[in-house]
Amino acid sequence: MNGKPYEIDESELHAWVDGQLAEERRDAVEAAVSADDGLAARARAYRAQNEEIRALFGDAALEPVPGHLRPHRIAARRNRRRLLVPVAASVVWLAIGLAGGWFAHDRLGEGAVVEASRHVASQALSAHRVYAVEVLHPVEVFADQEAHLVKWLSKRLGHRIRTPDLTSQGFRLVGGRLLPAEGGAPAAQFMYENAAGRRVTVYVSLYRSGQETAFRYQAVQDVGAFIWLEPDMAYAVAGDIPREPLLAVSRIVYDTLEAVE
Amino acid sequence: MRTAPIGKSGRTLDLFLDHLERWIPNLRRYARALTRDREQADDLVQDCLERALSRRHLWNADGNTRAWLFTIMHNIHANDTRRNNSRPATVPIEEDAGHQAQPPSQTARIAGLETAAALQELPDEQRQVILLVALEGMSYGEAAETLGIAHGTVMSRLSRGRERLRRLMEEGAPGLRIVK
Repeated sequence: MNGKPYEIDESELHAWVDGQLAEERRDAVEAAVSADDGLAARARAYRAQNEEIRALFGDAALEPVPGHLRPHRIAARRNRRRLLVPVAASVVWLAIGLAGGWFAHDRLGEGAVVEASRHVASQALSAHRVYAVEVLHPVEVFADQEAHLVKWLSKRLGHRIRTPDLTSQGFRLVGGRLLPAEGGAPAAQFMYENAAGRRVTVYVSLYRSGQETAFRYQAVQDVGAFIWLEPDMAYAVAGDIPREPLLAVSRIVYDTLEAVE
Repeated sequence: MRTAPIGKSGRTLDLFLDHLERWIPNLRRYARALTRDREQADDLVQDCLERALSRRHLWNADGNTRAWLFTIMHNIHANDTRRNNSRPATVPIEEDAGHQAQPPSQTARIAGLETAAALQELPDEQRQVILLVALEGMSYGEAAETLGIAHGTVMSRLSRGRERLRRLMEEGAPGLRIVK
């Protein structure tokens, strides 16, 4: 690679090899490669690697898919395996319903789920708006006292909580605070921040909807939130980052909190 | 203000299963390259599908199903590898790679074996990126999404991995020099 006459980026060489190079850069890269034997040798070697890898493993995609790997069959089998579960669960529900006298909460209609999700979303979004902009007092307890924070909020919510590790998404824990929720119930907010200073907040509240829902998304102006309900808890992840990364964060939060139960 | 449901509803189950079905050949191919063993690969695919089904409510119909599935498979594979790390995982490259594919000619076969042996010399993180891009034909962005890493990290792993692979091939992959 002596005396490069054309300036190209290392990543452009790879993009060219992989057919992922932007059209307008093709001429420049091709000129650079043909003027530089070192680059040309590398490009040739990388192309050959791609071809050999495809030759080695590509056939596996052409083989007929065995029945036990067909999703419809796996789903049907799982369903059968689960047959006993709803029966057992309904007994528990009945017991709780009789004891607590809130059996009516058990089955909310679709409209009520939307209502409940919207309600939780608006609380989480408000809390995010108020505290995410705070410079001096973004949280009550900072991450350097994480163990204390978790213990305190778990105790106040009467529910074991764990702080999700979001470093894989570039976010580290700032800390957390206690918040008021519906009817004097407590809620918790954990705040995370990335290197660019963007913040996302995780909102956990005691909220008895009797429902388990999928992720729902709600956005107000720039701030979006993913919300999901469990029978007696509500969760939300809010932030003014695009929907996809927010979803990635939400999945980790879901996995972490689900693992605690 | 709007709320939109994502996944999980009886209506979307079939749609979801169809989406999964579509990527099974890809999952099998990639699993084969990760495990280099047909049985193990199909077990991995099955575990991946089971987990995908149990997390159906996290599936986003408008999102990238392939990246989602590959991420799940990666996590399972990483856990399996970690669990098996106590056991020595020395699979003879020659035998193993031999029954994976039947390349058309003897020279292609030897080149393939060299590549298979050299690939094993790479750190997992570099091999994964190379396989996603070369075998799976993923865009760099998709590979980044699948692995949960930054675009720049994909590029640097790809670059280091390919260069290392090239060196290994030039020197002759060590696996091939072992005469039994």
